[in-house]
Amino acid sequence: MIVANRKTLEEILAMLKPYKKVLLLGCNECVTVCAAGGEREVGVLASELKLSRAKEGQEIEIKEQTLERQCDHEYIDQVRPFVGDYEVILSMACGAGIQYVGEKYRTKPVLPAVNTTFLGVTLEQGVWSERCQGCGACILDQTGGICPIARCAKSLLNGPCGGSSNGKCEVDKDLDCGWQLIIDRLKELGQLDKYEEIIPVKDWTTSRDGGPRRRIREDLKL
Amino acid sequence: MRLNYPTNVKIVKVPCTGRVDVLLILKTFESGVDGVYLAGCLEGECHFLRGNLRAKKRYKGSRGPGVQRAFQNINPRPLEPSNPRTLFKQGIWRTE
Repeated sequence: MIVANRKTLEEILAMLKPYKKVLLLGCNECVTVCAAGGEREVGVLASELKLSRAKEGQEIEIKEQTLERQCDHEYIDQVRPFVGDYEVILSMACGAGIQYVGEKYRTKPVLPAVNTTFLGVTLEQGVWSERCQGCGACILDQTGGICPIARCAKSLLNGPCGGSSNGKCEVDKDLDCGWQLIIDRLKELGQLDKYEEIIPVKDWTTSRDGGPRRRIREDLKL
Repeated sequence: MRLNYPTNVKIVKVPCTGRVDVLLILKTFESGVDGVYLAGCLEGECHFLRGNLRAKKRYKGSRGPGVQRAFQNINPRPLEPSNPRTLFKQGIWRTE
């Protein structure tokens, strides 16, 4: 899932300063699961904005709408009938959703209500953790199913480094050393021989280094 | 509690303080009330085991978008209960 954090109310109020009619768009996917931009968060933010503006004696009209996804144009099209009634769109989706909404409604400013952070998992209620950096060339088969790119602070391919101490990373004493996790897992799997194999220099052309990426499936195109 | 309240006090019954969500409080203020008083069971005596402790966490802003966080920019006046032994008074919010 894509994990995001809501921006502070002050930041959002500052962005919305010139506007009085706001279309507030939530997303039912990742940001709902990480409690940053789902239907409930849309309700809370709308309420906070209305109360804040009321306190300053200023008007604000907010339409709350939560789309199934903001990364698919079919769902974005659902607000087309009334998007013209509002001066600005405030999106609580991830960065992808915010941008796609902006692409579809080019005459409307689209503002972000969240900071998109990482691809991760839910460790427990209220706790999320990064697991993947989307490098485009997965090597989890060689590293016991634990990603050295995302889990090692230095993204080392042949670790650990000298900063690993008692299973923790030198960057943060609460952060597990990614390579310690890999070694422990390989031991559990009886695959420690894989640790002996040197992982060659990574080809980063599949990652962000080649600019924004696209995936085309000709067999799926209409 | 079968007490008589002033006519300007509206009682909203919930099964447990654990049910109280920040949105509930915010919507109440939107409707124009002057304050919200949230009263629940004593700590350790929740009928649903941990509902009051969860409400307390939310009130203190340590869980999710907590009530206090929601209010810190609007009405930063959560008052401490005057006598915490008589009731587990979770918190009081008032408009300024």
